[in-house]
Amino acid sequence: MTTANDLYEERLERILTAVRLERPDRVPVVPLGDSFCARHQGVKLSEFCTNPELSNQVMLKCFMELGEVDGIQHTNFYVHNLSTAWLSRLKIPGRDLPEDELWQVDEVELMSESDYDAIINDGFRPFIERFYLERLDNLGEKLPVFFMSVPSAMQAMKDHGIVPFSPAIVTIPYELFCGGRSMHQFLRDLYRIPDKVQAAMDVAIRDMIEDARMMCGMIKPIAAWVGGWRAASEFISPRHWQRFVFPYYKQMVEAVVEEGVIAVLHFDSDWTRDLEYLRELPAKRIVFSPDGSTDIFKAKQVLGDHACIMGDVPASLLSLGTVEKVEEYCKRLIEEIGPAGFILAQGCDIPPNARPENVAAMIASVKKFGA
Amino acid sequence: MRIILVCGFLGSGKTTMIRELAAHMVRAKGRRVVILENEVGEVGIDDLFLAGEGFQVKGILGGCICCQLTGEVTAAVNEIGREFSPDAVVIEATGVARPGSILKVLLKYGEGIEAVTVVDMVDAGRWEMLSEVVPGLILGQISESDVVLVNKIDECEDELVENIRALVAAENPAARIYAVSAAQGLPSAILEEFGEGGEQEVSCALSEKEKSTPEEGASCDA
Ligand SMILES: Nc1nc2c(ncn2[C@@H]2O[C@H](COP(=O)(O)OP(=O)(O)OP(=O)(O)O)[C@@H](O)[C@H]2O)c(=O)[nH]1
Ligand SMILES: [Mg+2]
Repeated sequence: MTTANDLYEERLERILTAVRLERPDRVPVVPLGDSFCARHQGVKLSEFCTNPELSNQVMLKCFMELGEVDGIQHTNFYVHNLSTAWLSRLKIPGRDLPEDELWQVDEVELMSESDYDAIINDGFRPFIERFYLERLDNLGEKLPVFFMSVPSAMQAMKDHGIVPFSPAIVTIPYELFCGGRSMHQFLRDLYRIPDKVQAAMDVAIRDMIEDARMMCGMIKPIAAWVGGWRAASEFISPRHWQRFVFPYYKQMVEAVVEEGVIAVLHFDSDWTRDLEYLRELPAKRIVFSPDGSTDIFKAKQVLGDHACIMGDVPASLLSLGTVEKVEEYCKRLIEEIGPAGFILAQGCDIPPNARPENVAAMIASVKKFGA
Repeated sequence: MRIILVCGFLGSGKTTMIRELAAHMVRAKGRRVVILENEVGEVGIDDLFLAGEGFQVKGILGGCICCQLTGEVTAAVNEIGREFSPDAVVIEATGVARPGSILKVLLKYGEGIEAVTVVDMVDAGRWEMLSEVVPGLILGQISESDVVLVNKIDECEDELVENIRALVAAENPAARIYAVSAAQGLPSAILEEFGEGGEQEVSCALSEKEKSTPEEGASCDA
């Protein structure tokens, strides 16, 4: 009899084989869903997004009902985590929005230009602690609920034979500052006071890396989500990208990998221009995970012998397309991006209005086409 | 149903332009217009204002990432079409979106769309900064538009405006380019261009777009 543990080991090996760029017995499928799972299970978003334990149960139940997944990218969801990545307040369903409305990042200028000086002079950690306390309504007090819930959430997935793939979340100073300053002000900073911004980033990344190492040590995840969308190549000039974006991703990814953790580059928007740079990141220890905007076929050409690729069934195909179209696209991904070095998943996140039958078709396609 | 998709960087004047245009289309031309706001955060206020002016308004809340917005916009357009069957839907794109990414989903899954016109608001006051730091976004918005309004010319020297015009024309030779101060009223030439509908002409523009728009995702249509 196959136990949940046997199943877990089999699925983990399938995923790790893909990350090593070898050919597994079949292509693994490792989706990510939050608001979609809540809708699917009839759980109000207001409850789902503020209760990490509930979110774990909902995700598990949702994906188990929709098919056989090898892993799930995140183990649970907690809306306040979004504030840590973009230093922004949130509009939360049930508090600021109707109970079943999707949460929003409420981007306003919370961080001032003088905060760069504070970071440079006094360090990032004192700055962020004060920022959480004074400008994010004591965010520091809200976060432990999430961190405490992660180990049991991971265990709950394992108990069902499902790999909790990338529950740790980290990013780079660009995403934080851009959200905290607001995008408009931040771009102005890059134009007017680039040296100061860079100096603050250099201070911030040290503490952010230390935190990332600590989190990896505590949670011991298989992989970490390293990503964002604001720093995508499609927006930023090559000169700015090479100065303010890539060096920080490089340091963060190298640190995560040193901790024995796979780095999942969750890169939203279009990064096609700079794919070549990603070859500087540790080979066979990273997963490039585009959202449907980057040309994934080009990514395979450029990165195929270097990084596993995960994705990228587009949000719009899942919400507006048909089962046949989903199958057709998954088949193409499995055959052209796989069967070695590929993990099938949605691009970015499964949108709340995705059709469950489309998500089920995506999950089933690995058995149909992926062996 | 005609779609007017208005793009342009954050704060470039999209809402200002849309309000005037919609007011003209409704009052002077008697068209039924629905405005679709696609900004995270400010939707509520705009809803009230526009509803008070007598337009039908539908706001989109939710979705903080562009990749999700494209699908949501199309789903909303289809719902609006079924519910109101308006003459036109004016969509305000989020300031960090390239219209092409919204358009390819809209053209693929949109229902009852007879014509699409893409308008880009270029913020002349911040041209130098934006074209240096985020050229991909700014030039992408220009190159994927039918009409480009170089806005806020009250804030800059004539010479800069002429420079921007020339750069826009070089980036997108087919675009119709106007220099405006949207906050002080849009020139009648623009209002007429949109107010009349011009179904024949824009239908052609739509089929041209269908031809030239790359398939979704790197290619969803395998
Ligand atoms: N000086 C000047 N200011 C303008 C003009 N048009 C718009 N503005 C101002 O620019 C600011 C932004 O205008 P909006 O119409 O809200 O711009 P938007 O593109 O909708 O902004 P977001 O939705 O935030 O991306 C407002 O303060 C307007 O009053 C103009 O022609 N000249
Ligand atoms: Mg606006």
